Amino acid sequence: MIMKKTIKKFSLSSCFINFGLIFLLVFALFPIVWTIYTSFRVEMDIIKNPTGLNFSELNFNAYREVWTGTDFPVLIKNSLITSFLTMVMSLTLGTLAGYSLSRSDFRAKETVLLVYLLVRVIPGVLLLIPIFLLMQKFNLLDTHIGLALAYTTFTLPAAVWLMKGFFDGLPIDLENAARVDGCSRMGALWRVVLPLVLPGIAATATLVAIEAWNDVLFALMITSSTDARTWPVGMKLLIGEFQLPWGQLTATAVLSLIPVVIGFSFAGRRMVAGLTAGGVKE
Amino acid sequence: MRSTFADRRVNPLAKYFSILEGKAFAWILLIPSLTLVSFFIVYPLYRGIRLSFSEYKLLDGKNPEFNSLDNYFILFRDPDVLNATRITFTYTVIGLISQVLLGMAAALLLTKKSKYIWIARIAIMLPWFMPPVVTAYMWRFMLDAKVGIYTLLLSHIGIDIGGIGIWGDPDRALYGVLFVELWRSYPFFTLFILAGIQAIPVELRESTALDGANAFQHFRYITLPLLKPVLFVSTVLEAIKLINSPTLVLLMTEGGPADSTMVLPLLAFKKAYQAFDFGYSSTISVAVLVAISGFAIVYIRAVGFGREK
Repeated sequence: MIMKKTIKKFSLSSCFINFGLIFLLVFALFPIVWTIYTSFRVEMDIIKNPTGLNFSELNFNAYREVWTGTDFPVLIKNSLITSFLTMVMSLTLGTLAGYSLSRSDFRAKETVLLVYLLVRVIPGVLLLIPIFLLMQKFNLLDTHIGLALAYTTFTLPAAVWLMKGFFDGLPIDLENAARVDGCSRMGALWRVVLPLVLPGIAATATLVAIEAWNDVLFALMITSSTDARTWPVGMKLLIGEFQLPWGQLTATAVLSLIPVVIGFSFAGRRMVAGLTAGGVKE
Repeated sequence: MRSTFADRRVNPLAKYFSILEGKAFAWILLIPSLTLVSFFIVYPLYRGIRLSFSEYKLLDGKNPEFNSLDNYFILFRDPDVLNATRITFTYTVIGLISQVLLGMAAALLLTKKSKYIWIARIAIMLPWFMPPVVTAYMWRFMLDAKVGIYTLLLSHIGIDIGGIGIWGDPDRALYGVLFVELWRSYPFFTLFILAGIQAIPVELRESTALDGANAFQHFRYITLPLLKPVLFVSTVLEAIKLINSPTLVLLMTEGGPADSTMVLPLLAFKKAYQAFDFGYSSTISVAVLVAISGFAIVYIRAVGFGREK
């Protein structure tokens, strides 16, 4: 009797839930859809009839202008290089540290984990100046590797915590079996453990790469020319004081999203799972 | 144990390789990352704190000069800092409350059992992964006084943001940025809360239903208390992000109009990036760091996290 009653109540509220879900989806996705639509419109049409729907004149003009008339291709290349370097460094160091923190038990472990977390509390602006001066000293200003090093310091803590979470989820018996069969400690990590956490590595790599891809604060300070300038800085510089080139702006935005979308579709679900696995524990 | 023994018998270099065992091995794996952290975090942190007690303007061409507490005396009497503190406080508090509420509502909706619910789960996460630059200019465009689609839609329901527009109005610019921050960041809470809800056994709902509890009572007395640790961790992380990272404000309003959106880290960034006053900029940042640490300690005490241990 009572169970029947609750089931009925649930189905009544499911109409409300569906309405809420639709609202959420529109709230989240409409801005993105509208931006994509605007990027295909004619500049005159955007200004004259900004909110109109006109599908007859859609074209790739804005994309052509961005690709041939601006520095954008160079900036994208810079961003790709920097993100890749950040990813490689964060993942190499983060995997080793995460494995160490997951498998061993020593007194300073808690402290080390806390230090990695505390890094996030320090205002980026405070570190920005000394890092700028440090890079100036070592001639790393306006270079890919300099920028990637700065990013790695910020992404490394996340990489360490996430990778530790993925290693924690793996039974230690597998490595012990490998060791009994004559694998060295490093060999067990390389041949047995790493292949098994590959999905976790992919998720962490995507997250790290996206963070480096998106940053604007450090890029603004550390880069000064097209040698290493990344696309977010280029986009900020594209903005004049008055008339904003909406067509080009939205086209740039859509182009910059492509790597993020590829990364996300590649490791999206895994990434979401990994993020929460690290956070909810304890 | 057995493997170590086997190694020694088979491998003549086993004595050398045994360094790679136990604690030493753990430290060897940690050294590369700790080195990097000390180079790019610990040393800069030390340097930044020292700069906060120094006069150092890059354009003067002089070396940093220690001036003890002078910068801090200026800081406490600086009307810009007072203004920025007030704005940072408003920004953080309203930002947190709005994000937690919407994030919670979204998480409750997304617990619905359905074959296709994962599509909705991923779709609402997308804003969180959008590059801030794209988010900033996209919303500047859609809330633009002349060409914005939201300006038009809102005017239909009697809300007028035309004229000087949201971004030109000192009374509304901050709330404009807060709205965009909400759009971008509430999925973070949804992600955490959703994971927290899924960790709660479904049978609990059945047993509270048998006891006659309605959905709201179940949420209030079962779900919410069980979500406490998750909410604690996520609000701390998000509060730190809101206070520390001026990215969205920098991109959308650059602190204007009339300094109405000038949050503390943006003020510090402008002192460094535009005035090249590295000393005073560091002073502001150190003050922010001290304030965050203070609030974090008070918050941890107040919520009583870790007392169970």
